[in-house]
Amino acid sequence: MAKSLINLTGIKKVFTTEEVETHALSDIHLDIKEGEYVSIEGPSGCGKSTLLAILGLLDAPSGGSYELNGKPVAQLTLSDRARIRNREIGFIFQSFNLIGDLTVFENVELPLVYRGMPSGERRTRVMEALEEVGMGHRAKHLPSQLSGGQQQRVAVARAVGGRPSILLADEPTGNLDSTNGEAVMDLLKELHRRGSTICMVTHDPRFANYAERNIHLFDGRVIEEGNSSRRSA
Amino acid sequence: MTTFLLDLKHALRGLLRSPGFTFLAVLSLALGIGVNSAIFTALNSVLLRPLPVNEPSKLVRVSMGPRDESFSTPVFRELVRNQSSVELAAECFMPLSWTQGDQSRQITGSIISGSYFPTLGINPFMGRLLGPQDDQIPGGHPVAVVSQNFWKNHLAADPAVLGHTLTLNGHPFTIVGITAPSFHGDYVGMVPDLWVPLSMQAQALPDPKNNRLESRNVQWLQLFGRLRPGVKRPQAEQTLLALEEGVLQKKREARDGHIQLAVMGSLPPEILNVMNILLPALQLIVLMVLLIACSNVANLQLARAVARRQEVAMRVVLGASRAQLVRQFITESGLLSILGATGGLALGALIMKAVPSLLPPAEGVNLVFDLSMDWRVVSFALLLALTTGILFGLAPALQATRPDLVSVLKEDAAGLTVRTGLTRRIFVVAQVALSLVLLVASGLFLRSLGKANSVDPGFERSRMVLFSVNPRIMGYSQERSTALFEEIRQRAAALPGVRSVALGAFVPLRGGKTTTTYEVQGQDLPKGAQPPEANFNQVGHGYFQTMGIPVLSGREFMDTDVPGAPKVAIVNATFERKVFGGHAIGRRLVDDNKDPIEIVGVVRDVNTTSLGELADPMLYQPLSQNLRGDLTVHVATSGDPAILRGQMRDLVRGVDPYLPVNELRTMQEHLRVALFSARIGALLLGVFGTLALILATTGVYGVMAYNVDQRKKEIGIRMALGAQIRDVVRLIVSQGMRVVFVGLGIGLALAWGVSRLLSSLLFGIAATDPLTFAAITSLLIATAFLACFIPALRAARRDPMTALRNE
Ligand SMILES: Nc1ncnc2c1ncn2[C@@H]1O[C@H](COP(=O)(O)OP(=O)(O)OP(=O)(O)O)[C@@H](O)[C@H]1O
Ligand SMILES: [Mg+2]
Repeated sequence: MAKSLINLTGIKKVFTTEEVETHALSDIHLDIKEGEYVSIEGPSGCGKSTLLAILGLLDAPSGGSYELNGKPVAQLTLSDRARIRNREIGFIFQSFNLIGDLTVFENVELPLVYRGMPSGERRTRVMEALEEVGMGHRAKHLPSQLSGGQQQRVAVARAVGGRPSILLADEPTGNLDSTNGEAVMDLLKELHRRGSTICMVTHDPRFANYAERNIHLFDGRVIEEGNSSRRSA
Repeated sequence: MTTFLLDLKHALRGLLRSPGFTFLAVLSLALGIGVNSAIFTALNSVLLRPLPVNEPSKLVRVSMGPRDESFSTPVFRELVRNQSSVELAAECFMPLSWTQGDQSRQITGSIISGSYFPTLGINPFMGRLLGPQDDQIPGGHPVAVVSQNFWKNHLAADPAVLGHTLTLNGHPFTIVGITAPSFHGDYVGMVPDLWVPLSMQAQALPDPKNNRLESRNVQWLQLFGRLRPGVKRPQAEQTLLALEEGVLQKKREARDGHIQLAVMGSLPPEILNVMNILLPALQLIVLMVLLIACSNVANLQLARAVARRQEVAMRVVLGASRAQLVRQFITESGLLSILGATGGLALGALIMKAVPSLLPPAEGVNLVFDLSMDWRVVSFALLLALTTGILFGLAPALQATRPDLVSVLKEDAAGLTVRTGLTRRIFVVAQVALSLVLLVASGLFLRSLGKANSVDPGFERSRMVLFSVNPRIMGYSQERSTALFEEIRQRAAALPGVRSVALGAFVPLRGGKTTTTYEVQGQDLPKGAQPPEANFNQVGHGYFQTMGIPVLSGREFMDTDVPGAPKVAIVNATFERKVFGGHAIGRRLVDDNKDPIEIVGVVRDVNTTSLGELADPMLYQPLSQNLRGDLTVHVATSGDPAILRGQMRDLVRGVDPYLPVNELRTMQEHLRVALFSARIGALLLGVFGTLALILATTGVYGVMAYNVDQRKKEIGIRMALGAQIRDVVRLIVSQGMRVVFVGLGIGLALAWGVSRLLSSLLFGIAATDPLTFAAITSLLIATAFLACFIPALRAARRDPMTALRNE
């Protein structure tokens, strides 16, 4: 049995603005094992992004406990969170979020710089990651010189270059046409096949089927957990 | 590649990517640092730099306390003979008459002991310097060393002058050497034209009454020394103190000073005091300009930080620590600062090139400053640049590196706004306020300068020629002097076009103040009280008529007010009013010997120290009863004084060919010198104020341009919903101007306070001159309005759809 990578128990998230309390997440229990490919679905506003932000240590939960690789991480300082994020988590966003001033190579290199990796090692890692997504020949380009699909591939390379424990993707195909979208989904599937753990938020049931496990959120709660193979059957 | 180099590379690229930002920021910094390094260069060369001699730290100046700095020749010789902890040298500045063909002019000489140059430890530029061998037989060493400047300016930089003779005070002196360009004398900024040995005192500094080489009664030499190896200053001071009683041959009273040794390498105390205030004050003003420049850069940085918020947030998501991000920002502002400092130093050097032309024409004193930039100036500029870079890079860095990370997920740029609005508005308020202060100050100076020509100083200002003569340098006795001046007076009065001629000791508004204490007969001072002071002048007969100063009651001085006759004085109207509270004629003052002085006339008040001043009590005494060596001849003309000016040198030459004529000028020219401080004040503050205005305007423009850029979507929506261009412009401009008005309010309050400090330097207008305040405020409002209006108009003119699509 694969070991548990992420363990959430009773996670809550409450936003308080101008005396209105929004319960974005209530009592979430979730366990993600090493090597799993999980999708999170649900209607707009149900808390998908909030959950992903907590998983990715971008935000702290209002209650509950979160263990990453067996270590509690719910209440860490900002700098500790940055360090763990840098080593353990790779992000892929809907709008790519590449840094326009930096070349493709430098974008992929950035997390490794923050980690303090020596430059020789960085170079090998970056080139490996770029080859993996088929963008090795574009290393010297600027993001603005690439198509949307190509930009998202670079973003994927940046996410995996640091060999994180888990890839978090929030609507990675949202800004792409269906051909490019499928290409990126194929890329994620390939990464999963080679052992990556992936957690992806998506609206699109077609793409949810790429995952082996689907989680449905409604109004901040998990209402259904399913297995995509069973669903598609 | 190390992380630092990587940061540097990214910073450099970032700057190149936004050339507009980089240009504005570097320009702002270069201007700010430029004026600062210029002022600091002056401060450095006047106050900080050591003398360009061998081991300057071992030099000490010898005095008997702060007000007693002179020693007699025998005391100097005995101090040299009786101790071995300090090598002593003596000098005395003096005016010299230098005759070339039939022209004589006054130059500045320094008479020095044979130990002078050896003690300083410097080398000649050419020939040799003076030494002990020139200081043996009185009158036996007619040699001189000329300064580099004198050689260049008056001897055509001719190497063949060595061995030639100069006629000084009518005696031939052989030029034996030229000093190096770096040597400016042992007082900073005051360079004699030449040096002659102490043995030549009788020729160079004739004194009919005393034998200065033998007499203990004439204290005339300034002493300095070099500590011998291994001797510390307190130790040397003890040695000299131990000699004091024996050498000075009298028990000094407790209130007298004792021998002191002070560090050398600075200005004479009177000048030092002025510079000690003036230069730091200027430095403060230019630091204010730098502050404005820096808030500009900080503002631009904030704008950029906001534009880069998505990027910064993404870096944080990728695991950048706050420290790493801040370092990246600081690297960028550090880079800007270095660029700014380089530009600033270049600008500072340019400014300093222009400075010598701004200095007042000073006859008699050679003001020479080495205004070159040395390592101190460069480090000062770099230090300024780095401090400002870090300080003003830090605020944006700290603000920008705390983005709301979740917003990155939401693909919502609006949520990523870095909250910089308040900080940016504070910067604008500060800029507007500071530039208002500087501009008001320069406006006041300009206005007062404009008023200068219409201010009535209380005496004739247009048809008057002045020149002064100092017969003492040619060894005239008191009686010969009196006869000489009478001769000059009569010859001048006989010239066609001359209305009248009179003698006076001090010309009003010559910069500085001469006062005397007085005592009213019958009014005993309380014990221990200081006697009151009044402004003071000594004038010959016909002075008031010549100067056009009306005699209000009583009479002028007359030929009959001679030494034997009863002592008399004339006072001004303010003296009469304040001291006697009624008629002054016939009232009596007493002199030091309690002899009565009768007041025989009351004259109208005149400006003595600054144009348009409120008069102080003033006392005039007749020259005939109070003899002096040097006097100014006042010549009232009926026509253009410039025509007569040319004849004065010939006139004096006819009386004594060796006698130099000094400070020959028309009264108008004299007043221009008197207005120097106002002119330089207006000029400097004008330049700094304009700089501040430019910087502040760019600042306001930057903030507004950024604001409308931030709000382009909102503006697009408003336009799409039917708003007119003018509605949008009005909305934006009014928001910008609100901030400007806050700055103006604070600035006006500050300027009001500052202007009171300036009031003593202004004439003809009140320090709170409403016109100046109104004009400057309007100027600022107008420029600020433009700075708001242009970006607003540009935003409103944009096609609303591009703004909306553009997200
Ligand atoms: N910073 C915040 N402050 C207040 N409320 C918030 C904040 N962020 C999210 N919420 C609320 O939390 C709830 C969940 O938001 P979340 O962004 O997780 O939804 P989502 O499932 O990702 O929706 P979508 O599919 O539209 O992206 C929403 O009701 C939202 O209004
Ligand atoms: Mg979402």
